[in-house]
Amino acid sequence: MGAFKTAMLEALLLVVAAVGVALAANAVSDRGLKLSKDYFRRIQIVEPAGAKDANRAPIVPAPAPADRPAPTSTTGDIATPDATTPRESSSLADEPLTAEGLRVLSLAEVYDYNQYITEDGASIVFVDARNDEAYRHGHIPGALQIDPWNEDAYLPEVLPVLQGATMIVCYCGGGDCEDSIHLATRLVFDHGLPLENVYLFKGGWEEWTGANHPVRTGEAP
Amino acid sequence: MSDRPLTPIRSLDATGLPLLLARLVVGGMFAWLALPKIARPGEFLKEIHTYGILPETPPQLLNLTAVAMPWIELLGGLALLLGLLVRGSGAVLAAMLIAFTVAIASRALSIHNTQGTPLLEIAFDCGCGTGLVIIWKKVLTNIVLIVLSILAVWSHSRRWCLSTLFSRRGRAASPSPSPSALRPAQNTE
Repeated sequence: MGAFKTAMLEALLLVVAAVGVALAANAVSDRGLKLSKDYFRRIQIVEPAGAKDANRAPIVPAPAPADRPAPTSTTGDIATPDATTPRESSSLADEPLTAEGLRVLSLAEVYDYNQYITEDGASIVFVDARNDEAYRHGHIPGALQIDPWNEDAYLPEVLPVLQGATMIVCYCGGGDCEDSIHLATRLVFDHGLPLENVYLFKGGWEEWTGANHPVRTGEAP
Repeated sequence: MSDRPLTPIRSLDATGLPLLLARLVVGGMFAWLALPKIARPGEFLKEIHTYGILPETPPQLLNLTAVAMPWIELLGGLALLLGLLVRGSGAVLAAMLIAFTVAIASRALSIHNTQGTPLLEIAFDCGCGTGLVIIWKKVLTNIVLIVLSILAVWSHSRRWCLSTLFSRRGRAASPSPSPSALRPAQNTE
């Protein structure tokens, strides 16, 4: 048998065997992919209009109950709180709710909403869409974690919290990172969370740390 | 079969050392780097998607590629390491390396053209299992690996290959083995 023919037959045998093993392994693995699922479906993003308008009213977190306690002091390994950071002002109440889009929050809005996260409350929930290593290295205080590329490992614990929340802020690394968009899309379309409750912090971790806002390290939110 | 004298290159090949080197380097690397991709298929899917080579619809194409490719790398790497299906595994891994290298170089050129980053400074996670890499170094490494993979396809030697054991057993059961077929260093599959 010619060397070329031998190589092609062996290559075909190898590929067929590998695909068979791969499909079997994928079927039994708890990290396996769903072959027909569109993992890159993207919800439309609605950029805030005039978020940098200095004449806008100070931010009022609409989803928070009126009797909600004042921003709690964070404990644990919080680092570098920077109360002097100038904030942009804008109001979510000024932004029309678009039925088909995911609303984007500015850094100033995210910072303010983050002050309303309490240990016992679940009205406002931040969700970190980065992997375990990045989350342990540092995350926004109070943020829960869902790695969208292994979401089944996190959803049983986190989804009930999200279902009880009125505001869910998704973020990832910032820059070109799109994991928060994918996560937000799946939360709405795959897990039935109301679109009007889900928000996107596009600046993400990069913008948060760039402003010297507090961070928390370790596995605890 | 004629007993023509071997050329120097074929003589070197007959020692089995070049093939052994190719098997250890290429097979070992593919088998090792396939493991994290198999362990985290979601992240590998994201890396493949970043290249924008495969269409997003139907999603089965991207998903099946993310599921199957690491296993092709693992089985191909193990086959080469053990010396089984040497020509086939060498051909598969060479084809994959050529495709990877073209994709990585294209992405680097795209970054160079859109962002103006000097080519020698471009670095990104190529999805190869090695994290963030300097791309020109990765391309050079891949070229060496391609040469070694092609060597595995071209080599006639089967010294230190498991396939030799099977072919010996087959010949032992054969009524009239040819003299040339009994030379292990020159066996072909």
